[in-house]
Amino acid sequence: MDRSMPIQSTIHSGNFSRGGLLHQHPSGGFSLLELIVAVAVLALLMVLLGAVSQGTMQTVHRASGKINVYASARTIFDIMNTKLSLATLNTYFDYYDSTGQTRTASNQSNFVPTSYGRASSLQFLIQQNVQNNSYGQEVYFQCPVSYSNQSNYQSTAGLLNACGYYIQYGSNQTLLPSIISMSNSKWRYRLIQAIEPTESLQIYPNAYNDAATGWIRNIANTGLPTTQAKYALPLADNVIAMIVWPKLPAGLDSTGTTLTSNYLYDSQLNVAPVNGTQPKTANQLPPILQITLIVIDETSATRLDTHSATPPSAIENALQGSTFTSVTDYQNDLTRVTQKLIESHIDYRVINTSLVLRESKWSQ
Amino acid sequence: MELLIVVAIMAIITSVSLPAITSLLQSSNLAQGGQDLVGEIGKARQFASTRNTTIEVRLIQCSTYGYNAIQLWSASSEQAAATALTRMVYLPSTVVISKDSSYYSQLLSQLSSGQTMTVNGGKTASYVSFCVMPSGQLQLTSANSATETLTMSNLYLTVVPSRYGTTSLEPGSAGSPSNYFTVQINPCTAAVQTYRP
Repeated sequence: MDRSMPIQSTIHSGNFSRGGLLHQHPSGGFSLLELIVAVAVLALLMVLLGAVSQGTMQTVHRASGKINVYASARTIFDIMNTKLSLATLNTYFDYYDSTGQTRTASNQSNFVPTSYGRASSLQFLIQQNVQNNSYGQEVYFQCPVSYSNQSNYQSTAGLLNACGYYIQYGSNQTLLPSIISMSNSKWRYRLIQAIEPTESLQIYPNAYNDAATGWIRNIANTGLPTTQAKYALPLADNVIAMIVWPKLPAGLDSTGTTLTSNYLYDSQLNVAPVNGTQPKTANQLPPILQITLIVIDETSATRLDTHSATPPSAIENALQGSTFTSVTDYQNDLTRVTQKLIESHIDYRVINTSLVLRESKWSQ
Repeated sequence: MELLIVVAIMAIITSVSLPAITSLLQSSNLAQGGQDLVGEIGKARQFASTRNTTIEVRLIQCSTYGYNAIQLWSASSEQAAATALTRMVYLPSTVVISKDSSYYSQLLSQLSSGQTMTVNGGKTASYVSFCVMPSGQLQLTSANSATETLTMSNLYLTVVPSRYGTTSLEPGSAGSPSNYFTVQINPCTAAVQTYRP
């Protein structure tokens, strides 16, 4: 009894808000102070928990972004491989005259053969990106993949298509479903695949390389952000550069400079034999193409979206000055671009693969 | 008395929030249905690539409103008849793939209709189908093969609430669905892109 008394009195003395010392009724409630402390502890815990879960979410978000990039890269290379590995020139040997011409319908009456060399009516072309040098290279070629919009052609194997790959910055508004409003269009760097249906192939009527009149006219990069080639379709978004490097197998070509010093490759360049010999690249396919893609993640792309034909300056600055024009600078260029992307807090991946061109029957 | 007030307040809150909850459910069903369609097309692309065969994607009508089930078949060839590769995937019961080929599912205008198949329970259902080739290229069973180019802007299907399954009204006009899930297919790669209004 005399033990409980002091305790009770302490409780009561703490309970001053409830009235005088003498008229107290026992209460099970908490004091204001206790409540405040409890709420404060709870708030602290919530803040901690929030911070932790936000960190986790961010990690998950980044990881899934990376996985998406890898998954789409696999798809891209898979699709590019099915086309590029079948690239063909159908090279044959033919007579050339002293002016470097082969026998044609118009010159056959006075054709005097002077040498013998590789000839082809097809072309394999790697050129610098026409929209912006810094986006890397464009590649145009023919491959027998029987792509056609007419169902009676689709089941025929081996029909020839003209195909091209390049990077284009632009809007997808012409590709949007007609019920979706134009405000949903996105301005992005895209890897474009342009493939001309076999029934529209231009290689025989226009067998020379010219973006306006040649065989690539319906698939070539327009160089403009608002218009696309007739048969161009996006293969992947957020690819900001594609570097295409034709090579010999590593054992024969340790520096990769045997075929080209500036990435460019044209199988129809200087094909006429001089003193009986042609350049190595004349009417031949490169045996190996090393393809490097610089891909940024969609989160960064959304953040940098300018909603206009002006490309985001952070990326343009990163690419600027390092225009991927010399194969010996390949590593330096890549390092410089990625360094600048890191400085601008842009998440990126550099993806690299070597595709083997099966039809390349390389002879020195 | 207090209990009565609590019940009354609960009733009021429920009646106020019910429309919001319904539309939330509807929108989650649309997303679910759209994801089902996206997933099946992705699967078709994967099957076609790994098996090096053409895969037929069938949109099956088991509902009176529109196409509400998807199944993958290996396309028939000279060597073998078409066989089912997967089980039928049903969209959530409140949504269907719109049958309207003028606005909501323009892809349908390039597919031949009027085919029927037997579904679970021995019933006959009509379906439309398109094929994904190993390269990822789409092959459409077009009734009018005169179409020269496949423009990507009309290669899409839309998942709409069931009651709008056959509605053919311009989006935004009275009586048209306010919420839908559009799935667009790239004719060269069979990659899909999704849009919501």
